[in-house]
This record gives sequence, structure tokens and C-alpha cells, in this order.
Amino acid sequence: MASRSLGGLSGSRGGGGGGGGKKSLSARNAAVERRNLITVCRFSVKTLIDRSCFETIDDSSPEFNNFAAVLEQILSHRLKGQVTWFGYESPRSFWDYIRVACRKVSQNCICSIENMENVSSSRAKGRAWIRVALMEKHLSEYISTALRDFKTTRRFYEDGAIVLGEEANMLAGMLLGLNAIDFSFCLKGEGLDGTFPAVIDYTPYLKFEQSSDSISSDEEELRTFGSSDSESSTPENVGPPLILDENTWFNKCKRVRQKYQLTLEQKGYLEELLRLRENQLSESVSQNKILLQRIEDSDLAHKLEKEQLEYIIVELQDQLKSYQSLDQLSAEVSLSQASLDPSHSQEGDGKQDSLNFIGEGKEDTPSLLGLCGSLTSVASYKSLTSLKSNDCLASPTTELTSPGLTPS
Amino acid sequence: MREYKVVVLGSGGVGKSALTVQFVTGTFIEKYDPTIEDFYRKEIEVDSSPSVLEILDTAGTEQFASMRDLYIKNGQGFILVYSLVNQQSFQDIKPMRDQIVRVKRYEKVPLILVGNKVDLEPEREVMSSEGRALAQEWGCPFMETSAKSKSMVDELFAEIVRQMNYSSLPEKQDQCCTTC
Repeated sequence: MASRSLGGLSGSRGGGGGGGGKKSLSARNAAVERRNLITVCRFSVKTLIDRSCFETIDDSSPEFNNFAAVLEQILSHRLKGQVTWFGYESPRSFWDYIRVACRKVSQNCICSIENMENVSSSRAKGRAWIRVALMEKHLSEYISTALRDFKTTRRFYEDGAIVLGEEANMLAGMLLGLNAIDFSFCLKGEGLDGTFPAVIDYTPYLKFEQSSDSISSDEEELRTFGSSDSESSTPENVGPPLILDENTWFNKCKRVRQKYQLTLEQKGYLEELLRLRENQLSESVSQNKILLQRIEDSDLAHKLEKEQLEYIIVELQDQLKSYQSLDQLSAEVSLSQASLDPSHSQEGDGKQDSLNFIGEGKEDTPSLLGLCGSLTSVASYKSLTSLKSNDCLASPTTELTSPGLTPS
Repeated sequence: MREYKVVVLGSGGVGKSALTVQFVTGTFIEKYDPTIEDFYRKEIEVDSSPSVLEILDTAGTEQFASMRDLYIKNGQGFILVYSLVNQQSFQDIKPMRDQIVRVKRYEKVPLILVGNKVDLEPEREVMSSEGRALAQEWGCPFMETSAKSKSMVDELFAEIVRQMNYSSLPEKQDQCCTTC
């Protein structure tokens, strides 16, 4: 009875696929669908691995939720429904397949998931299993074990399913990297719900690529703008219209590199200029020191010269005084001679005494004249002064002698 | 048709992706975009025998180094790539082989040592003799390739298939498991 029903269903489907055109279109659609799911699976795995380097992956991670949706859709792709005794086909979840195919995995969590009370629906159990398998770091092992069980897989999936095709061989390898990630999920409460279908967000992986011809054209245009307008305005004019894809980023990178190069050269020039200025400054400082030293030396020499000149002036003044003293001395000598003449005419003895005195005076005169001749010497000047004093003392004696002789 | 899991390892920027993509699609990737991981699948015929290669192109940057053990455990054959114009990448390749031996617990793992970017001969930093000596020490084949000029690329992947055939790794793995 059951086998007849299955046969009937197959027959009807076969009839439906009779048209050649429809067959080819259907085949293309199936192939595209498989390729889409496998490609987005690869992207979501890479995104997860990349994200896990910086953040803990838990239920709040959009990258994880997207991956879970992708995996669920892959495992649900062309999943056969369950045929009841009455011939109706009721939908099944991938959990029904996993719990059968993964029974042989060592230390598996199948029984634990099956016995969870807060998770009731088959789809919810499937979702719980995905999370537990990731936390156990065994998802890749579960999948490869399930896919190796070819009989069970054929029993659960129709022809054209991803898990029956070539792509399935890469699936386990793709998922292997997830074993390196530490996942953190909470399976209690109402987090897991089998009500809503899994929806994949494709937008993070969609990217427009500008054609190479278009890029070349843009570069040519940039060159033209560069020559006609000033450099500062060019980026502003051209920037907005360009679409931000990899190649545009490459062009921007190139432009930034050029600016960097220009700035680097300017920096080099400024550094060289600074070095030159520093050298000039140090030379100026040393010259300044030399000049200051020279000024100081000049000041010192000037001071010494001034002292010498002052000394010379003082000396000249002293010489002038000396000359005046000599005039007085010569006058006194004349007076003494006049006084000696009267005494000579009066007394002979007195004359002899007077002559002796005069003789002594004459003997001293040449030495005095000699001393006066060397006025430049201070010592000679002092001796002149002392001799002058003696002469002053001698004069009164002569006068006293004359009156003494007269009374007798 | 036999399937072989090949893992391409090496430090960042040596040309792992360029080599792999050149082999799989016949095109050269000019722009450098660090790989997180990429999976490729290609059928080839080696010594009149059709084979399917599953090639895992890994991340060379240190950021994803924690995943290397996973890849090594899952892989059967390994292509260790360094750049001829980067002495440091040659130094970095030695601990990777040690890691493979440690994870596989087997010294004769199918392995090929590859010096890439042979087209940049004027900038060469690693002599051929150095690469050849290291390969001899490890007991594995040595090749110098250029992903850009597609020099020795197909030969490289054909050779890793021969290495995997020659060493019959699955039996060895079973033995290891039995021992454990």
C-alpha cells in the first residue's frame, strides 16, 4: 500500500516534468539554487571566523544567525516529506534526518537534544542541535558522518539536493574551521523557536564590481581633470560620481599613495632646510662669541691704556713742580754770593770760612745739576727735595755768623 | 575516483592562494588579499588515473594560526610554500613541518617543499641549494614555482597526488589509531 502510493507520487512528478523546455529551466534553477547556497555558506563561515577574532560569538551575533539560517536551508534543500498511511505528504525538518544519520557519531548529543523539554518542535530541535554541535566543536564531524551514510541521505532527500550532489563533498571541509571558534549559546528559555522560517541576509556579501574598461575610462578622465583643474578640486569633483567598489578603492589608494609621496618629499625638503638653518645659527652663535670676546679684550686694553696715560699725566705735573723749585734754588745761590762779598772785605778768617762754605757749595752743584738732568727718575727727584731742605737750613747760619763777628 | 585532501601552508604573502587559484582556474591573482580560508575542488589525471583534489588554501597570517592544527588533522597531503624573495618565509616553514609531524604523529607524511615567485629571480634571497638541502633533510620533493608565469604549477599538484599514493597514508593512520 505504502509502496504503491510512493509509486503514484513519482509517476505524477514524472508526468509534470515531461516538457523539454521546462526540464532545462528547472535544471538551471536547481543548479543556481545550489550554487547560491554553497557560496553564501562559504562567505558566512569566513565572516564568522573573521568576527570571532575580535568578539565572542553568541545568539546576538548577526554573523552567526545568518550562518545558522544558511545551514538550515542547505540541510532542508529538497528534503522529502513524510508519507502517511493515507497517502498525504507532511513536511519534515532536517532534524529528522540528522538524528538518524548522526546516531553513530561518538559522544553525540542526539539523545540530549531529543529529550529537551523546552524545545518541542522538530525544527526547534534542529536549531538547538546546530548550536550544541558548534559548542562541542563537532559540527564538521556530524555533517561528514551524515553525508557518508548515503542510504539514509537518499531516503530523506530528493534528487538534486545539495547534500546528494558534488557540493556536499566540500561542506564538511568548509565547516571545519568553525571548530576553532568558541561559541556561547543559551538553550534554556524561549530563545529557540521553530515557528519562523530561516531567512538568509545576503546583503553583506553582495558587491558590485566595476568593469575594467569602465575603470580605465575613469582613470583617463582623472588624468584629464588633473591637467586642467587644480589638484585640490579634482578629488572633490570626481569622487562622488565614482562607485565605491574594490577597484575604486584601489584608485583611491593609489591617489593617497601619491599624496603621501608628495608630502614625504616636502617633509624631506623642510628637514634639509631646517638642518641648513641650524648650521647657520650655530655659526652665528660662534661668531657672536668671538666678537664678544674681542670687545672684552678691547675694553681691557683700553682700561690699561687709560691707566698708563693717567700715570704719565701725574708724572708730568710732578716734573713741572720740580722745575719751579730749581728756579728758587738758583736765586738763593745768587743771594748767598752777594752776602759773602761784604764779609770778605771786612775779615780774612771770616773770608776763609766763607770760602770753605762756598767751595762746599760748588762741589754739590755739579751733582745737583746731574740729578736735575735725570728728572725722569722718581728717586732722583726725592733726593733733590732733601738737598733743597739742607740748603734752606744753611742760609740762616751764614747770617748769624756775620753779626757775631761785628760786635767783637 | 579517488579523493585527496591537500592543505597548502606557508606564512603570509608567499603566494599560496595565487598558486592554488592558478592551478584550479588558470588565472593569476595580482592583488594581495589575505586569505582566511578557501576551499577548492578539481579533478585531474595523474599517471592515467583520474583523481579529485580537495585543496584547502589556509591563512598565512598569525591571526588565524589556531586553525592550523584543525587543517593538518583533516588533511592527507601538504604543500609547504615559502617565497624565494623572502628569507623569513623560508625560516617560518620549518616549524610548520614540525607541527604536521606532531599532529599526524608520523614522520613520513606526504609533503612537498615549494619555493614560489621564481619569476622574481633578480630579487632572490633564498638559494635553490638551501631549499633542496631542507627537502633532502625532510625526505620530500622540492620544487621552485611561479604562480605568475604558471611555472611547475600543474607538476606540483600532480606530484602531491603521487606522494599520497606512494605513502598509503590511510593504512598508517589506522595503525596510529590501533596503537592509540
